[in-house]
Amino acid sequence: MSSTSMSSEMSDQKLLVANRGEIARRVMRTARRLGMATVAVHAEPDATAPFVAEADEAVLIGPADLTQSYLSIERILAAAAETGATAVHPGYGFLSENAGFARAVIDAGLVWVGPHPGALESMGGKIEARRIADTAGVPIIPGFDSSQDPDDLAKAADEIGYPVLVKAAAGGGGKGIRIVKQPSEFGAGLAEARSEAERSFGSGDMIVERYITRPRHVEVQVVGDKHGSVIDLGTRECSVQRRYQKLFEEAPAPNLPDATRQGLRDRGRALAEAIDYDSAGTVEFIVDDETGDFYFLEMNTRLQVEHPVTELVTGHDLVELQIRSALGQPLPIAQSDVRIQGHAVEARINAEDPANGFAPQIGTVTNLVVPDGIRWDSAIEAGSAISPHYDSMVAKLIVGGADRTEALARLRTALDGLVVGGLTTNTGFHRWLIDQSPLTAGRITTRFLDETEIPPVGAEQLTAAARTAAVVWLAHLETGRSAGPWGRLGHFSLTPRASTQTIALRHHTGELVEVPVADLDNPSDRRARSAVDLDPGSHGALRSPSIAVNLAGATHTFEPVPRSMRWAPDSAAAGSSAGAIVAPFPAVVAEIRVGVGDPVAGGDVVIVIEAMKMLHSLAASGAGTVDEIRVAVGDQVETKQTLVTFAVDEEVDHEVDHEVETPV
Amino acid sequence: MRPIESAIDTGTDQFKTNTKAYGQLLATLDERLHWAIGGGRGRDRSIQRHLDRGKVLVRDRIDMVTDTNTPFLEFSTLSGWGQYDNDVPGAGIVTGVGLVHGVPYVFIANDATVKGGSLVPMAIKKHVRAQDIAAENDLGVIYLVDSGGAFLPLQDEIFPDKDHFGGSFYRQARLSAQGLPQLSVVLGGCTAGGAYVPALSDEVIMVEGIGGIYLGGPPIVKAALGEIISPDDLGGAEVHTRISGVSDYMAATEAEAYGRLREICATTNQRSIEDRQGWIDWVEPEPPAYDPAELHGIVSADDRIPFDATEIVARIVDGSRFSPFKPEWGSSIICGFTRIWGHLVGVIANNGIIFSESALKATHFIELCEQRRIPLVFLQNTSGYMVGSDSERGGIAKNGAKMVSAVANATMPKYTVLIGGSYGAGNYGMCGRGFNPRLLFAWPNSRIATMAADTAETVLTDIRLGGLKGAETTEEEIAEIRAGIRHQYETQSDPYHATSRLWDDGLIDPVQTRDVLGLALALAARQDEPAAGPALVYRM
Repeated sequence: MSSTSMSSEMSDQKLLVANRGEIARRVMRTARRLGMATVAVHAEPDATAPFVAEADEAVLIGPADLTQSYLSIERILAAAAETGATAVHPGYGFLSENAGFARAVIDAGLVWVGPHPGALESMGGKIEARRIADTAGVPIIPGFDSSQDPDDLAKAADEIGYPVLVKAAAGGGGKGIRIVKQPSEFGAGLAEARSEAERSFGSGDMIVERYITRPRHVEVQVVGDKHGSVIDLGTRECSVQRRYQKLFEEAPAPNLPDATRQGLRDRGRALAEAIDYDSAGTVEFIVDDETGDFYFLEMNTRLQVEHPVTELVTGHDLVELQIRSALGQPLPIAQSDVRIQGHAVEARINAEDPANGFAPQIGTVTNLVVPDGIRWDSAIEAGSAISPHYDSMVAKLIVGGADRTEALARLRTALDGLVVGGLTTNTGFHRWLIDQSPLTAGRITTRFLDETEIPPVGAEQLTAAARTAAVVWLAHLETGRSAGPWGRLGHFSLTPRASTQTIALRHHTGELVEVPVADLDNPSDRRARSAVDLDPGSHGALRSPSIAVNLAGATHTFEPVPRSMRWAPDSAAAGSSAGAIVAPFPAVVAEIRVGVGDPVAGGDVVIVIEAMKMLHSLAASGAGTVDEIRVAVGDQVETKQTLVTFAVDEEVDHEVDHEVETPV
Repeated sequence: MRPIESAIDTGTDQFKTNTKAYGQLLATLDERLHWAIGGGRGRDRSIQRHLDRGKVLVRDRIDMVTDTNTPFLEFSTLSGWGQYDNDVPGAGIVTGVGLVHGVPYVFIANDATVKGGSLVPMAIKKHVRAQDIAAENDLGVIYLVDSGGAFLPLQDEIFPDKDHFGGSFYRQARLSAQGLPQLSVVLGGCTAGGAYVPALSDEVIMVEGIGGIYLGGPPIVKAALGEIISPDDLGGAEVHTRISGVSDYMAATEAEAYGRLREICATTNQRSIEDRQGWIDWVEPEPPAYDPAELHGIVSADDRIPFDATEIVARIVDGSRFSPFKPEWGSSIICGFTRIWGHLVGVIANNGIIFSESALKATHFIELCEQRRIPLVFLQNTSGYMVGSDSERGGIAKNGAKMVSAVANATMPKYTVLIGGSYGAGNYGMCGRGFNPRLLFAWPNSRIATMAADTAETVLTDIRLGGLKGAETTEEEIAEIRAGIRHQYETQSDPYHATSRLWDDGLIDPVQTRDVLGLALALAARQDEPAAGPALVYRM
């Protein structure tokens, strides 16, 4: 390694962050504090993103396609060379656990802010990781990985006992995993998981293991240096998950028997020591809530999304520790210096609709109000566009307190004051979640969300939010009007009648709500009862104003609809002819399962699209024959774009013929 | 300006008695306003029929056009009260001023639930009056046309005279030439003369299915030409928008038409209500320091007991502040500068009889306001000019005439409110209807006549008896004459009799006075300063 890159003078370093969104901003924040220059690399859709704007330098490395941008080692290294970067921080996801990337960075003479490539390799494959963990004395869940033959795997499943988990050996992030409840479903589950694994990770190697019914996800934060020291910074609880995607985390993990807690921390360190771990990493475990037994799950050889909760309770900046270790400095603290004080919780703010199967949402953040006194690690500012190309997480809300009760109370207050307008996010879900008894009791399992129905947003809530928005809008109109009587007398009338006027508001989901002005005369309605934000249309001259209202933690965003538009005749009927397959949101076509002329039955999957890294099947609404396929695999499609059409019924054809007038 | 020190004690029995009595007056007003705005008795059925046809009620239509949660200054809501068998509420037409995209427009809207929107004489008068208000205040006019045309049984009171139907079209054409937009939405059949309201408009929208325009309707066409044709095929929205070009836009629904109308209004390039031209001095408005609701307790329940005009002013003007002019002289009239909704105005208010001194003081003050270009507000409560030898020898005739001349020639916007009696020449000098105040409103306790009923009873009975020249008249006959005269005066000086005939622009609750005047003054503030007036000869 060159002497410049190994300089322990932080101010000599220029750190390239090979990532995007909130983590790029978060890493750069520490880098700046340490006196380092920063370089952002970005794909085309991120050109105006805050992390790009905030970096000292930014390099466009490619289009939306990940393989040509955030997953392109070649382009990232070219950007590093171009900008004279001396160090590379990979963030999480993307290339963060890619040993090839780490080696390429090191070979280019740059500092790799991550563990040595050998650690990445040894923990990168689940089978290998389990073997190492087993050797290091870390408890392993009963499982089988010695063969990839479906019959052998099925036999192993029988021996372990159902239900079993089938998961990708190279997996992570919830991809390539299936729970199989009985032997008859094993073949299908294995095939599905394997196909998803192949698509996501390029490897179809699978593990079969015992499935624990009341599992909690607890993990241990470890940090090592290049001088052989490894410490742990305590536990985190990440049991609130949906399809293995974490949504809510806390530190420390609550309600653990002392032996379990200590065991987790000791075994976590032991594993890190076994692989000479020299950066920040996380050892994940499943804890059986009934017995306190714990089993090794996997080790993430990178910074975790949820690292801030650990930072809040320990007072240590994990990115700083990563950078110092990478620069060869010894850890500034010993295990005996680690103090876990208070409690911290993190809510991941995702652009997804919890009431609608957590479907990913896209759109523009029209309004953003972040309450004081919280840590807000975000990818967004007001005006940011949420594109379908990347992960749906847009921000993390992190709150600390003297104890768990106080931290949750502060989170509740924060969620009531938070406004993320313009699209549906899961903030309302979090507000609901923190009042659920398993969560308040600190006894939540990873099954909780599968077993619990999330209440949908009712019409009453929409109406209540619309009324608040209407009050805000009226007040705004009044402010814009003259201080004279025409602007200040409201619906003054010399006749004894109430106004029949309504305020039409378009909810961000498209629904039109009409609020009678006369209903707002009640003075109590004139007070906004929750956090609200009015953006009078500063993001582009043509955009309408938007009013965002926090109701029960969820932000409802409304745009006033002028009467000339509200009452205009409907333009050509939206969408396409009945029965056609139409894209419900912007996405990329992942698979087309039919050909022209194929007969389909109702419910048959016709096409599969991918958005926000999730696959969505679009099925035929009834029987028909494929008439036209208007897209190809890999095509980017927009909302309401017609993808596949079906042949018109013959009888209808005849009727049309009859209507043609015959010339006399 | 100094704060008015009110001498009113709201705890006195008299205050309570007055308040209670005024409550009765307001209950009557409210009841009669409900008569005008719909519902009740036989009208329910016609309203239901209107709604069943998918049509919108007239005031709801105006709501659909005007800016959200903004005032509508309606005129003469009670026109027609007591006339036409009391069966033509509001004379079947609604007029007033409302905002569209911040621009004030006069609305003239037929009420088709009243005799099919047929135009009775008072409807024509109201229509023409609204156009005159538009002309004087530089306001465009929005016509929501839904009228069966002239009420033919009374055609001689509607058609031939100067300010009859013809006068409304004359005005419409002139208003357009003045640069004031004339916009129509056709919401019913416009037959014969009615066809000219849209036809004379700058832009016309017709609503499919309900709007029609024909010089001769289907029955006439059948009679004249033997042609059998449906109303829609003869002159419906499609015919006139796509074939004849009489209409500029068609709309499938009323709502669509109002959306379109608002779009049109966004392109009329008119001054908004915010565009004060600066010649009327204006500061941030401030509510009165005294509660306007106290007006109900100040106005005497017994009209023989006078009330102090200064106490009225205190409950109308900004901060209850007032700069009295010549406070030590001519005390039966109060003159002074004050502000209403921020606008600097000169107020002239009566404390009863007008003497020579009072008349001269008022003349002086009117001249001051003319010279300083300050609008005038008249608060009428007078039994008239003083009579008697002292007064005549003091020249009350020429002094009263000076006040009348000054009022007549004042070019400043004038606004009049009848807060009590409006009797005799006092009505003239205090800017009665004949002196063209921009707007004239009356309180429900007001009275208007040549003289009060008490006076008339005495004076006219004596005259009548004198005319009989010694012929035998029994006590009974005298009592009958006396009662007849009293009844005539009481009936004719009643404010409902007056407002029914458009002698004013409407009856208002005293607490609305400040807001009505403020709305009116704001209309003047967006206009150019009026040109200075002619010089006149004062008899000295």
